[in-house]
Amino acid sequence: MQEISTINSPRAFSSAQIFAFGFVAFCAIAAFLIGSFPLQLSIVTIFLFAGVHNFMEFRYFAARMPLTWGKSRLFYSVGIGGVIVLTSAYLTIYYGSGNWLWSAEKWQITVSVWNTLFILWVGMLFYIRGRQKANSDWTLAFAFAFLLAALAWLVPAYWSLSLVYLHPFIAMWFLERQIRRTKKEWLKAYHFCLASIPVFLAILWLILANQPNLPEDTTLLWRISQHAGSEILPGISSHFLVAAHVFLETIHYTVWILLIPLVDFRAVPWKLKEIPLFANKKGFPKLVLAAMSVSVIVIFALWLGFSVDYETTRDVYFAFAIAHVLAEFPFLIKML
Amino acid sequence: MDKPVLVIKKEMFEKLRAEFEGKTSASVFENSDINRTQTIVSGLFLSLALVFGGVWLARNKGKVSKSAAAVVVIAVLGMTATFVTANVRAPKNYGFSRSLFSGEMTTDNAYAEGKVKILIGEGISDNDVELLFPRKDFEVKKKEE
Repeated sequence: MQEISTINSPRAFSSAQIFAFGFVAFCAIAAFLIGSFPLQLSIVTIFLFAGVHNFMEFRYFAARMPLTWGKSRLFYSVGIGGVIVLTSAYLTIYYGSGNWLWSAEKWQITVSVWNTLFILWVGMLFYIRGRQKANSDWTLAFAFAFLLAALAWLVPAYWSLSLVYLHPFIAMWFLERQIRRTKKEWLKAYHFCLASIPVFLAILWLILANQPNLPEDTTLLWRISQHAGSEILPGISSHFLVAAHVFLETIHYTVWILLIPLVDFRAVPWKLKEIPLFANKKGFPKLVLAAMSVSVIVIFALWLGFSVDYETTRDVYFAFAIAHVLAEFPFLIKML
Repeated sequence: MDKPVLVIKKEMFEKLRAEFEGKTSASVFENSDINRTQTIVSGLFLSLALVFGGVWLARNKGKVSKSAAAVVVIAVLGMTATFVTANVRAPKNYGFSRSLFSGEMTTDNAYAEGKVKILIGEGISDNDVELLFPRKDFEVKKKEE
């Protein structure tokens, strides 16, 4: 009798299966809605989640930052120094160009030099990280860095566009590394989730590739299409490009805001005691608290800015957002 | 018509001439100086990539499987070759020869040599540029073959 009742009882799903089902269902709904209303959802998702996801990233990085750097002193010095220098240079190029001092050639070469420095900085971080591991030789990072630098010079426009589309995947990589550490039983399910993303992109392509381009009759609409690569890839419908970009960005926001705190207890925003810089006796609790407070104020400032002048706030946000794009690399490479 | 004639509409001819003389704000990406800089710097970085990759392979001899190394080398060389051949200029000599209608013309990089008349004016279609061939010449050649 006992055996029969076991057979007849409904099968309980594991947490990993529920996670995978939830992820794929979310992607399906997101792909459907974004494919139907790409411009509207581009505006809405950035309005709602851009600032929040940056706060969550900052909170996650704060929890991962050790109180003393010890043997990683060189790694963190190069990492944080690179973020500051490259962000400053980027903002200088972004806001300094567009006047008579900058010819088109000069601007193009300056951008390529920045791209090269960025790539070599990432290569250097890989190399330093490799030196911290026993019996490993990560000098191959330089070979890849030089190869990518060559690409950045050969096809600068495509290179810049590839960064726009690759950035969302960095969040997914973070989540993968985090699952390996704190939720190993979800790893297989998560790999399945990752494999589903190209399928959703392919479906978007099949449905939207032949659609007419999206309207560009206002500066904002033009900026959204241009951001997704409509000028660099004129042969592809901007409907697909914007939808694909917003789809990936939405997953990126979901990973930072929802999934990483779900798998990493230390990333829950209000658990400040999980931050070594805050909780340790030798830490800097006031500094951490002040930084968190400023981050929260920035979220509200962005919401206010988007409400008053969406277009300008969007441009300012994406210019300064380079800092968070760069900051991801040292923390990601440290997790390898 | 005893020779092939290249008919270029007047407006198109003026536009082309202005571009050749640098009178238009041609895209920066089409500028030869920046193309040269791009090619030199990217060539330098590709060389460095090969050198560093080679040194790494030599240092890790035995640790890396031969097939993986072969895949990487082929990928790098293939990519390099793609970019190099993609940047190769098309042959400058766009003339016409006796082999004008031979099988060689079926490939993308085939070219012919000979004389061609250039006519600035209206052609027989709405296209900006037309290349007209003498039909009689074609038939004679075919008979000769």
